[in-house]
Amino acid sequence: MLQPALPPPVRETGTLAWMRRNLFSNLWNALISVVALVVIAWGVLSLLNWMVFAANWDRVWANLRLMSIFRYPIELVWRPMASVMIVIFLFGMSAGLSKDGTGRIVRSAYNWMMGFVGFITLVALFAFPSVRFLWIAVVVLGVAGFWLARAVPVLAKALPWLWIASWFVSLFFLLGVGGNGNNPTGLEFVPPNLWGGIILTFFFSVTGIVLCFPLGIALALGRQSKLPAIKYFCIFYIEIIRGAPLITWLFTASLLLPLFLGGIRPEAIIRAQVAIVLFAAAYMAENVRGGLQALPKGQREAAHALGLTPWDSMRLIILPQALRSVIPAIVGLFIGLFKDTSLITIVGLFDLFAVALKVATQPESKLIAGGIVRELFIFMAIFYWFFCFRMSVASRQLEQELGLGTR
Amino acid sequence: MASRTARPSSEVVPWYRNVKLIAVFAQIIFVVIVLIVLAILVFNVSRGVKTLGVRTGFGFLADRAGFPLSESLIPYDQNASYARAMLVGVLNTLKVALLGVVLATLLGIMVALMRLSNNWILKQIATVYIETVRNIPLVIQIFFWFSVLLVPSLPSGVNALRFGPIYFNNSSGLIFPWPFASSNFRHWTIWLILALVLAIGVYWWRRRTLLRLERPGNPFWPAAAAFLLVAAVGYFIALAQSRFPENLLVSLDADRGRVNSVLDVNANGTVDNQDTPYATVPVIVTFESASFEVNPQRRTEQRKEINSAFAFPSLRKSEFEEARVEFVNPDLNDRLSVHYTGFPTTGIVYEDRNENERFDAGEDLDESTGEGFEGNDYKLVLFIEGFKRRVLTERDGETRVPRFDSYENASFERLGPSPLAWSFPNFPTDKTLVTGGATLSVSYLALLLALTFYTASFIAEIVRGAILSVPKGQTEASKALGLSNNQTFNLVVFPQAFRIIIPPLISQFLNLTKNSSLGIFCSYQEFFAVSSIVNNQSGASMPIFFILIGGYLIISLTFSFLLNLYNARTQLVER
Repeated sequence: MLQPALPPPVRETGTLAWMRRNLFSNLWNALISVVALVVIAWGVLSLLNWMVFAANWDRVWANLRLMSIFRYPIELVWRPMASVMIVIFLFGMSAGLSKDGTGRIVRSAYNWMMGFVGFITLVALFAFPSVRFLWIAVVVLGVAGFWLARAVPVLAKALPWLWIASWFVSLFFLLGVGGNGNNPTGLEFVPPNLWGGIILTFFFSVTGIVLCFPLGIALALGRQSKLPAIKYFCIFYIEIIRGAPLITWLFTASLLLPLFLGGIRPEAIIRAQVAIVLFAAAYMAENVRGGLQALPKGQREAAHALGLTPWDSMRLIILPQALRSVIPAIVGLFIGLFKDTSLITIVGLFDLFAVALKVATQPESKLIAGGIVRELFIFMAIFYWFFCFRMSVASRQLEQELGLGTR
Repeated sequence: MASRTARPSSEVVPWYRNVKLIAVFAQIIFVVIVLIVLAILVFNVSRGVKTLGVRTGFGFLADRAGFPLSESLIPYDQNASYARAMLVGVLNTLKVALLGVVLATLLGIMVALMRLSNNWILKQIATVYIETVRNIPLVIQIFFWFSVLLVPSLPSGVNALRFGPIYFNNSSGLIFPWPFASSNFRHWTIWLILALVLAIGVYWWRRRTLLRLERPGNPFWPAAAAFLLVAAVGYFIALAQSRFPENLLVSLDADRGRVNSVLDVNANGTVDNQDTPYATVPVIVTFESASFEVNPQRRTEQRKEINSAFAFPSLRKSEFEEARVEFVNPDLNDRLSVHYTGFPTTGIVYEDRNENERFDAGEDLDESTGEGFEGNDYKLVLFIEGFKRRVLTERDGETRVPRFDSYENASFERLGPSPLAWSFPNFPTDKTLVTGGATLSVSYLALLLALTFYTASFIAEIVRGAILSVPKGQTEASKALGLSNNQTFNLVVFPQAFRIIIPPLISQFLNLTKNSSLGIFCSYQEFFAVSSIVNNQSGASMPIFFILIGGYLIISLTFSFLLNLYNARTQLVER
């Protein structure tokens, strides 16, 4: 018995089929799609309309310097820029040296970064003559780093050390040493209470993650230790720190650190940095512990069987693997720190958020009907979103890449 | 080499290579170092206490606080102690954290389902929401909700947005009717306890029955029905038992716009210092006729300048029989008109130049001077006939009624007692003051919204990951068994995803609770904000540090203990 021929299949490809499948698969979906499209179109259009025609960007534009470097002396602006140059140069080298796998992720991050830097350079070329050449230098160094590393692959060995050194050099450039206004030789000392804005946001979060790293590893190892005194001390520290919000630790550091140090009163910036490092270390410890626990027991036993001392097996076998698997978590922690630096205004420091609040209350800003809080909000939201989103994309890519590697 | 024999076991390991001894020594050295560091710190602190004049000890907690707190779940005034102020802060933290946790979970699940839906546009909305919200610092989102959205866009004072008896303005926040427990509430408590016990019993019984019969169903609904039934019956019995005290004395002071309710302790029939306030007495106040006078003023509402705006104390339409607004100066009645934005209490004075009997832009300015019709010359009067309002006396035994500029035949009537007494919000003056009802302040709402939206973006990803981690075979198997889409999700996929969701969800709940400490950025007076005020005033930073850290630890640990209990239960069911 012959079956009757089936009708030809409905077209399953093309825009219309896609729309039918994804937007109008049934009455409900069609209704939701239409309402959502109308609402989104209206929302996006009115936001764009406001941003282009109604918003008053003059005050934001006029205060860009304040929000970038705060009260850092304008004639010394080349020094924070020098730090930027070093970092971009090393970034370029890392990208140039990177190979397949995780290297692709570094390269794509580098491309994004150069795009961003290029954009700022373009803006500076036309609007900010004072930093025009400095930004051009940043772009040139970024590209030069890439090609230098391509040409001299041996540099790969020095790269980690260069990164570590770059932090110290950046700090040196920002802070300066000796000298003052009357003694122009050398690098004039710029007290940290003049730092602020975006440069402080970056410096704070990077320093936090760099300094909390060794401490976090030590705490994680301590928590895994078989010696009860060390183990319980580490558990106590980690749980106490994680139990209370960062803002209370900032508050504590700013009020009690002078007391603990017997009346020595470090700069507010140092007190806040100490709080952030000690805080981040507890979270870093938990991340590293995750990596240590995920490591198969056989690795430890094999190292033991090969006759490696505990120290060597830790250094050569366990930590490299454990840390490699928690890189995405560390990037996540860094994103958290980057966002959390907006809290340091509570101890009287001026990061981007605090400077923006200051700008909002300037008499000139208050003259504008309705103030400029909306414009400032959009500016900050875009700034934070750009960096955090890019980092979280990198973190997800790393997760996938590393996951493939270990399996 | 091969002939080398094992070391005889009798050979003693030298003490410096004995692993056990090394471990003991290492720990001793570690403890000693920790103790030395601690000793240095303690020494420094004790020296600092002398030189820097820092207070130690917890004695300061009993001192008078002397600062006001605008929102409090328990009675608080400036004469209360520091300890009570900090308790108010803790309760405010819990108030925002508990509601935030519930809302964030609901929103998070909703967004996760949107992201998993097969409607492309919903999926995109959810993705954009998640990727935007979690990549912007919470502080900046609080700034958005408070300083960018709520405060500038809401109207102020009596010009509040109105939805029936619910008001929403930028000075008080969301104000709504609320039932308050009166002193007769105790008659009802026994019934409530009974209802709760019964509901738990019904829940267990129903659950067991369902399990035994292997039938689907939710034991929650019969339990809820049992609770409501017993509570309702109990309420009517409690209502019958409710009495006011014999010596309750209620009085109306129409000139000052107040109703007092006190217990006449010395039984002299008049209100004096010895009498104690008595709260939650419902009273109906009646004015046969009355009037207010106000001047039009210039105002900024929702970022717009409004000229010649006037605002009388707020009245609801159901509260009076007749109302009309006139100019005190009779000449003006022909020239100028009144446009009501909320009849009859708020509006704009304008000159109808194009004679379309409607307010048009620009007509609120005087043509000759270019300024608004403002000040004493344009005084308006509101006449009301047959005004009647139900009020409830507050904790201080007092409540406000409109303070009319002139009135005739003011009287009041005390209503019967009840376990719960409804209180309706009112604006007794044309300023921002509000009495009655319950209030969620703008600070609270801003913090709640920011925490909810921020945390929900993380919860959504947790829920999505968990749902995706349920093997596809489960869905296919339940489809093969003939379950509908909803049944598949509710009975097969979600219960399995649920167990994966719980542990990370707990840590998100804790994050939300800790993040509520950012309330200080929208002047919400939670634990951290109050502690920092107390610190500024008392200078007792050392003890406050211990209270603050200890307090957050206790909140966190309690939260995680309770949730882990729940987690353990859900995990046990699995195996």
